[in-house]
Amino acid sequence: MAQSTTAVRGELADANRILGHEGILDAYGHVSARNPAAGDGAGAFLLSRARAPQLVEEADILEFTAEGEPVVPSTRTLYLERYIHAAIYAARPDVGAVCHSHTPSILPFSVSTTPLRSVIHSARFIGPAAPVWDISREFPGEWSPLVRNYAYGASLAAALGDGAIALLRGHGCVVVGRTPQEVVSRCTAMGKNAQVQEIAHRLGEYTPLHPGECEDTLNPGPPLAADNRAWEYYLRRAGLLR
Amino acid sequence: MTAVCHNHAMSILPFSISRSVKLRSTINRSLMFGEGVPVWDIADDFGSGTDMLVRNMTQGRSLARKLGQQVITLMRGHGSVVTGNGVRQVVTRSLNMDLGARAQLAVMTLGGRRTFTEPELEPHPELPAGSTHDDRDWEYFLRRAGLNRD
Repeated sequence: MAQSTTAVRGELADANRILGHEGILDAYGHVSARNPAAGDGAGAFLLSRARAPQLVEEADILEFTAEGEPVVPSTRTLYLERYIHAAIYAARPDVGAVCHSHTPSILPFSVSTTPLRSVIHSARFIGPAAPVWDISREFPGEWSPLVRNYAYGASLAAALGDGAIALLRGHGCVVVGRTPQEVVSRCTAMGKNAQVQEIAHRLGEYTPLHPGECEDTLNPGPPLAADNRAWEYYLRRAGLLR
Repeated sequence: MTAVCHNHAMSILPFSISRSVKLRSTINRSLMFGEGVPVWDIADDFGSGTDMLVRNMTQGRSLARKLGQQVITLMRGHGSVVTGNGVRQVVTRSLNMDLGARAQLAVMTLGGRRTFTEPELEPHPELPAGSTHDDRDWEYFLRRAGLNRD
């Protein structure tokens, strides 16, 4: 069952390009995967050097320590917010992949007091109200929205709690899952859910998913066969099907 | 009915959860919506703890009952089913469903609504020559999908 670092690196490169192609990530944002060989000098997680996700290749993907620093000192520019990933992997042993995005459709929900919530079945993982992490409330006086150190990452991870998604006020979100494939499916469903919820809200009253219809994200059951179906579809759309 | 399409088209999803607005006809191509497309809510028959998927025949039959003699039924928070006499008709209807939902949203944004008259809503079996468009649609859709084999 355990995959090699090489295999995960390949999946992560594909996940980067898919999320770019699907408009979840643009020039910014990033997606990472836990290193299956973590420990004994190997990095805790894998993440690209600072590059637009749609352009990421396997050679761009570096190993990072549990504290979010590169295992091999690098002259390449790194993502400033890599501590998001480090802190979430530390807090959530169940998580195998993390995406930080600025997806346009979810941004209004990061500012509005109307919570982002599950309204379509493919986004059952969101739940009755996605938490919103507000850096200015957690760290009074902070002038930047960026999660630029480990303490900020740990604060965000605490807001995420046991959930699969947290919004960052006026900034974006983090989405977690067991695998890059699950995170890709969740991110695309999240974007659609936000669009549907916003339109339904404008139309008037609407019925969201009932709490019992939402996913128990800590006990999600076996991955759906639909994830593989979706992965093949996304690979093809992004021109990656070999 | 000899063909069925189950879909999660983005444009109809807001209408599948809205309690304020029904999906209804606004343009010629969405006359099949009538005065309001029914919405099947899985929680009505199967409680509020399902994973929303139609996983067995009992649930399928419940959905089919809601469909009744209609062409289309929405599924709350999930999508729709569109039926037709043949694959070509179900493709045309599914695409018209998307056009009709998007048109309705645009009409609501613009405000006001000019409605169809009674004669326009009557079934009209004797269309003038050249006005049946399923085959024309089909050729067009094949071409767009790169599937025409001329």
